[in-house]
Amino acid sequence: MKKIAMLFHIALCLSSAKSAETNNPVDLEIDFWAQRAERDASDFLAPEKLGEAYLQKARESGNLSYLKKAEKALKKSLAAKPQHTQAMNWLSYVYCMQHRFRDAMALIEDAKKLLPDDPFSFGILGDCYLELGDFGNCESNYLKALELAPSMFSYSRWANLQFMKGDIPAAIEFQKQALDDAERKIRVSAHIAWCQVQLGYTYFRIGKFEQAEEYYQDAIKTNPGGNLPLEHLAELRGAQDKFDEAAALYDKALALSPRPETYQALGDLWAFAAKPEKAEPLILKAAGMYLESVNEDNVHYYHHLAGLYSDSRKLPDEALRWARKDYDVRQGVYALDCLAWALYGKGDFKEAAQTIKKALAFGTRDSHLYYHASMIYFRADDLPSSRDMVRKAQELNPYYVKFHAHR
Amino acid sequence: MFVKSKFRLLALLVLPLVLVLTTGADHRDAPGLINDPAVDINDVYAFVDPNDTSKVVLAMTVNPFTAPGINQTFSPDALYQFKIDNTGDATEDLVIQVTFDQPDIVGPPDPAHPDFNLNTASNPAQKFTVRGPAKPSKTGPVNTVLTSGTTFSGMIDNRSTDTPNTFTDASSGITAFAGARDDPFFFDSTAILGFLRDPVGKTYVPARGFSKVDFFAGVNVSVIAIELPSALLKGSNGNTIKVWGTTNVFTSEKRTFKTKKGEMPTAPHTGSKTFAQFDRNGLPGINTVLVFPEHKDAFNLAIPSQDKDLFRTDVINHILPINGGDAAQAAAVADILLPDVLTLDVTNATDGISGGYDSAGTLSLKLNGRRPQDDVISVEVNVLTKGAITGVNPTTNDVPFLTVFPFFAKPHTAHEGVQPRN
Repeated sequence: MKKIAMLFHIALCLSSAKSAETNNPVDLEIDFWAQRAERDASDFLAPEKLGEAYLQKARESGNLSYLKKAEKALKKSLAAKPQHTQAMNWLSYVYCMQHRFRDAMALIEDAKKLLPDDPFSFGILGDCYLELGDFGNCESNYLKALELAPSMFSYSRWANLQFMKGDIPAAIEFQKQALDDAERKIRVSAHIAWCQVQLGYTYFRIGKFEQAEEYYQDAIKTNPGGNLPLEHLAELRGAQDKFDEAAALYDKALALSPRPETYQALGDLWAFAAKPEKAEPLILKAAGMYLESVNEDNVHYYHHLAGLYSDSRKLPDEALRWARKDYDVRQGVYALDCLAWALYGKGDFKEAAQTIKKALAFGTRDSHLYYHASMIYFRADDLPSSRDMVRKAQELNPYYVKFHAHR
Repeated sequence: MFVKSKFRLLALLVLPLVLVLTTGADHRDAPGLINDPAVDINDVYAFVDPNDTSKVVLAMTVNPFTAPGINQTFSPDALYQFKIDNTGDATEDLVIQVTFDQPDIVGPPDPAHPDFNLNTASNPAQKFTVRGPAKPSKTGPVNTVLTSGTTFSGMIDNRSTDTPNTFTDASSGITAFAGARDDPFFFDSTAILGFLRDPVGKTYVPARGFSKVDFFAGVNVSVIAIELPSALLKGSNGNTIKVWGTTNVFTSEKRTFKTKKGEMPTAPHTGSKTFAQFDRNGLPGINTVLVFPEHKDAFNLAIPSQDKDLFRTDVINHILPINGGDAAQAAAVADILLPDVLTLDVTNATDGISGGYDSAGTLSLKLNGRRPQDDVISVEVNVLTKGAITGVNPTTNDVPFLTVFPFFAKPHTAHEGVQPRN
């Protein structure tokens, strides 16, 4: 009898543990719509909602494995109803997040034939053009999205474009509008926290740590179960040379979502703190996870692999190989920066200088981009340009030499 | 209202004839609504309280397809309105308005309810205010908040499905409910879709057959329900009132999005105190089904008195492929479906929407407002096929309706599971 009572107690504990775990709204959505999708093959809505929930989970956690699940669910929705534009929209978004920009654009053009004035379509098209380095087409699509539906989604996209064009005050202004809209209209804590993190990160990138801290702390309060606010606060702590505190925050984030980027960031943190014995296993783990994902035909981590092999685990040939693959997929600022940095690591300073010049031509004001440029120009014997880049980096972010995470 | 005749097209004209081609009555009826489900009206109801026939219940549902455990909020930027025409000109003579404060989505965990965490958006508290009925200072698609008439407030508390969320103003006798509920709409959506893709004239049987699965079983919506003395709503049209619901959102004085540096868009909710119409609904599914995709957002922005001018052609052209190309019937039906309003005899507590063609080809319809329990889909499919198809829809909701105000069933809770498919 005692045994039965104990088993009952254990079952009860397990049941409440499960309940606590799945009270996260997006997990509740996944739980519910997965059951609905299983029930009826002709139900196009349940797999669409499931795909949307997986996509949101991927956005909230940064865990890209949810994108595969989203893709599968959305394809099921489209199998049941081939012209279901909402599923087409979400699937194009999934493709975009997976860096399958051509697939995303083809699908969104199909969706636009059915719904010509859907702001979602213009947002996704703008995202694709941004990654492909076509700011002109990005801008016209983002503008259309803004005109059709001024919202958190269109404001934050516009803010990102402004940042990429080098207008950081405008980026902050629109990020604040996005946050305002998320608080007033969207009213979902994960979305609000995401906007707070974006604002904090912009301030972090220009060395305004006090404002960054404020928004990161707000994000943690808004969405205590989210790993992204923790990761960003950890990065800030690292930049403040509070390495133990930073590591503890990264550990917390890893407990919530074991992403390879987070393992790499923690490894980089320990390397920065001159503790290579702690750094190495984490970097190796991150590399293994990236490669595993790439071996499953995901292109998203090409960029991360290039960065990891350029900086965290110096293997110049590998860095260049992955950077070139990344550049084949997208031709925007950071793909060019990544390629230039890998060329620099390989000792091809002339091509590195040509490539970083192309990246700088976009006008993006980023202290780490300037830092890369200064190093490249220095080795390419262009000392005036090198000095100019150091000055720009210093002016934009006095703490640019401090710890930062690869993204 | 009771109609009995044989093969009389006129009888059809009093039926809220609805073909549901997408997902629901008015659930996600236009692309512009998907970004803010809190202002997406799913259904509007109007019926006489069977427990107190001196009172009328008006209700609307928003936030379609809410998974159990997720308590969606109402929009603090919106004006939720019931518009009442009591003179017969399809223009509102009275309005009842409901507004909501910013939800409290951030706060400390509640020790009294350890399963719920107020730090998440899933269990927010939200204050609401009811105003009216009163004559609006501005009719049409752009409205302002009432400054006269009854005003009272309540607080939505979603920490338990047992919280009543019901508040009464003793002086006026008006009772209001706002909060999460089971979606009262019941409809085998995918089967009907199959049927509509293979319409009358070919075969009546959809690809996977009619198996009466309630597509809306297990999902929740947010409900606003108002019960009030019918005397407060009557006008020169006697006991007959026409009702529709709207959601209006704060309008911006100026929205410009210039690429030129320094020219910022103005925030959408500052400056102006007017609310522009965002969605509207009277009869179930008019916009969802009978309006072309490129006009759906426009329909939601229009007002009932414009309906015949603007959307009659859309409605006719949607009906023609389904009714076997009977142009006269399609035109006649369009003329009764528009304007898109519910018509209610406030003294008739017995009837809602029921009936259809019998086996002898006789049409018998009872039409009076809309009650939650009315199986509008069975009626509609029956009438569309002139009695050829009957009994294709679930006849009742997945969970029983309440027998007292607010009449809508309690919301489904997290982890209760999904009904197996029959």
